Amino acid sequence: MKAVRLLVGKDLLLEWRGREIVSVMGLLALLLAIVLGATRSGADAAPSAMWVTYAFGATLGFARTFVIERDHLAGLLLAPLDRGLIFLTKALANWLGLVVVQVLSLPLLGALFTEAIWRHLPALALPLLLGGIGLAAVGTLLGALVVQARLREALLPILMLPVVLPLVIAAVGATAGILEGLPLRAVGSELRLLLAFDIIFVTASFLLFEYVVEE
Amino acid sequence: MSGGNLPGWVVEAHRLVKVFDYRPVLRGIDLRVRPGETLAILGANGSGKTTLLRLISTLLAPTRGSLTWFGDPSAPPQATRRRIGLVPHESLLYDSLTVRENLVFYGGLYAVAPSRVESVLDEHALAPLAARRVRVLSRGQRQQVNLARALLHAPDLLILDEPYTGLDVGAAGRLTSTLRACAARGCAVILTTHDPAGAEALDASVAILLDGRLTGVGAAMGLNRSMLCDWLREGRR
Repeated sequence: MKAVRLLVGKDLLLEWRGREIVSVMGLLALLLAIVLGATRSGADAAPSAMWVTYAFGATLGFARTFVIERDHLAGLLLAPLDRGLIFLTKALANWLGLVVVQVLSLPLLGALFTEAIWRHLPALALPLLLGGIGLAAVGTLLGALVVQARLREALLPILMLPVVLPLVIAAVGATAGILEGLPLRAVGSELRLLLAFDIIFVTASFLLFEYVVEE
Repeated sequence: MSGGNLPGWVVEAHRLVKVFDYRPVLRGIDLRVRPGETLAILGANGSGKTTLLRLISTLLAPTRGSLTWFGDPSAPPQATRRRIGLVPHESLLYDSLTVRENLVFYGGLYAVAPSRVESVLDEHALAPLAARRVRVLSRGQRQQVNLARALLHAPDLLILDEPYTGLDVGAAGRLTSTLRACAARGCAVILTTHDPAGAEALDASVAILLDGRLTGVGAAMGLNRSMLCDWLREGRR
């Protein structure tokens, strides 16, 4: 637990001082929300707009995660830690960054699309949480995979978006149901799919990370 | 560096081969280093020195051949890594963190007590720089902090990739003293360098890496300087 605290604490301190990931994700999320809101602002467009915003924001922000770490990765890989732990702490830091973006973007999305976002905020937390974890898991693993690539900022969305498509579809479905005022059990299948996606991708990424960072 | 089947090798490489994209970089390296021994690996650019160090430091896996650390082939990787310190060519320090924050972070990964960080800061005369962010340090100061970071957990094997590059005479002298002290307490030191004089100053054994093979081995003081230079020039062609 001490190593987790150290690694996450270091990532958060670096982000606080550099503001490289949350600011990039936040700015893109803001612009996407405004563009989508300007083109189609009905309540039925809100779930898609939310998740397109988060998915694209995540691809841009998560591409930076291992760029910041690139010169120091040898130091982490040489530490007497399970390398999967490095993945978990990076994914946790990325997820926390995404949560900040989600929280900051909700007022704008509420204003542009539908005030139902405010009425159903507690229930919305569930798909936001589960969807965010899945995006962070996939984005962190693939971010590590493309870090040495010259076109990594372009490569990450190309690799990540097809992988997270089932997650985005389920998250949009769950969000739409909640915004329509359906009870949580009515969107249970979407939430279960999100949970299964998270379990599979967090576990697989934890196990695969060692091979991804090996040259 | 070489010898019979003596116990107590810090690192032992047997017919080590590393291939990148079908291109062999190392072509069968045999290497043994004892506790307290300093081994300087000389070689031209592109001869495979850094690749060899990355293999020895566990950052790379060999394509063929075997590596054994501390005489225990079945030791878990984490236990092996705990006993290795690495000073690569690039700095492993976080520019946005202060010197102390960097050392506390890396020390924490090795479960080093915070008091040890303070004593290392004092030992390496880094206390006046402790509160400065790494991005404002000179190359020589960074190298000192990088070395302090690698020595925080008192490793039994210290690996350095061209540590003298960019250092002035004073900083190079301090580095030599630190490495000699490290070897004196039983730590094995493996470093790469372009400079035979640096190996001489450390009283190191010397291995010359040419075209992925170790072609010359001997005590630095006993080797003919011009012969070493010829080897290096040959490697550059």
